Amino acid sequence: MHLDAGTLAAYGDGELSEPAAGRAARHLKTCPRCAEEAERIRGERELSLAADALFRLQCVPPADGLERVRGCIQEWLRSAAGAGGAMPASSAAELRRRIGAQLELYFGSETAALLEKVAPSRRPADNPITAVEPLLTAFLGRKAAAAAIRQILEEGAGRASLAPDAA
Amino acid sequence: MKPVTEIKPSPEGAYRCADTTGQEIVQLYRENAAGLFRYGVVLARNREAAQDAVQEAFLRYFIARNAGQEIERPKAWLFQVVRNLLLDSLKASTKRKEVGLEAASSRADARPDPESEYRLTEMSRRYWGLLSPRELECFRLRAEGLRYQEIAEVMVLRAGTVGALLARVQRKIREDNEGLRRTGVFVERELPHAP
Repeated sequence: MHLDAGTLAAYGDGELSEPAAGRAARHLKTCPRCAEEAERIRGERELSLAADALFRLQCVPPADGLERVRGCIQEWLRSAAGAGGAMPASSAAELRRRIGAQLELYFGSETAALLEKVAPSRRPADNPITAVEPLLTAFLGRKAAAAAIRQILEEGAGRASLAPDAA
Repeated sequence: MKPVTEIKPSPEGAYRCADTTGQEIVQLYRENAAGLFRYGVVLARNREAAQDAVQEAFLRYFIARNAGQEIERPKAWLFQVVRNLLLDSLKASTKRKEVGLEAASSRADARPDPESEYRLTEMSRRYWGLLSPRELECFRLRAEGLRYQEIAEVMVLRAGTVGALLARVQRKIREDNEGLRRTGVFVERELPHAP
């Protein structure tokens, strides 16, 4: 019985779990064919990383990236503070973002992305909370869902105070 | 609602100071922005889209942390968010059809954005001809230093699949490299006795 290429790659990368790594090491000592294959895979990994170095050189993010991120955060803090409370005026998108964060927390990001898309369209767009409330309740139970929704709503309140120009 | 004028702790004392979170962002940005950008370019094949997604991911990180959310592995979290953002916009651009990443990126490839296409590198064009979108993505994540388990989570794969994908990618790159040597500028040097 020989080791497959995926297992050899994982072994070479130090990514096999402890019992599997031990088994692989013992097998490699006694099986010249797999040992040779492991060596070939190691060479291929080095070669592909060397080839990748060129891509890294050529693919560089803009120099002002961090400044842009800072700008985004400042703008966001201002918009949270501008509304002077829990719900910024331009809140539909922001609210959906917070709901998304909660959904992601409980359902995982894949499912949350789907739910985020589906949920608001079923209800009036101005109150996405009513759309996700049944979902959260079904999944978490009434009490925990209420706590999650409170967190979505209060997030704005807590944050508004952090902005430099908060009242 | 009455404006809140003090930092308001959640029941678990969760709300954080924006400055602390800001410092954390700077550190994370320095460590991960370039890798996230390269990953975004591989997914979207468009620099502007990649940069927007990276920016948005850091904003979301700030929002989540500022609200007291614990993020266990920030690096993997950021890669995951960049992926979701780009996947969403790729899906939206294919008229809301339910398509996988594979279909979405090959579609994007079929209609390259003229503004950014010329900036895409020679090396990336070569990779993109050689590897499937899934292979490219997996290789990119590994090259950016993610562990197998993290790659599996980001790409929604079994961890056991990651090694097999990587082995295939690396073999393809080696074969491609040998092909280059046989047919390209290396021929004379490599095969001095060829007829």
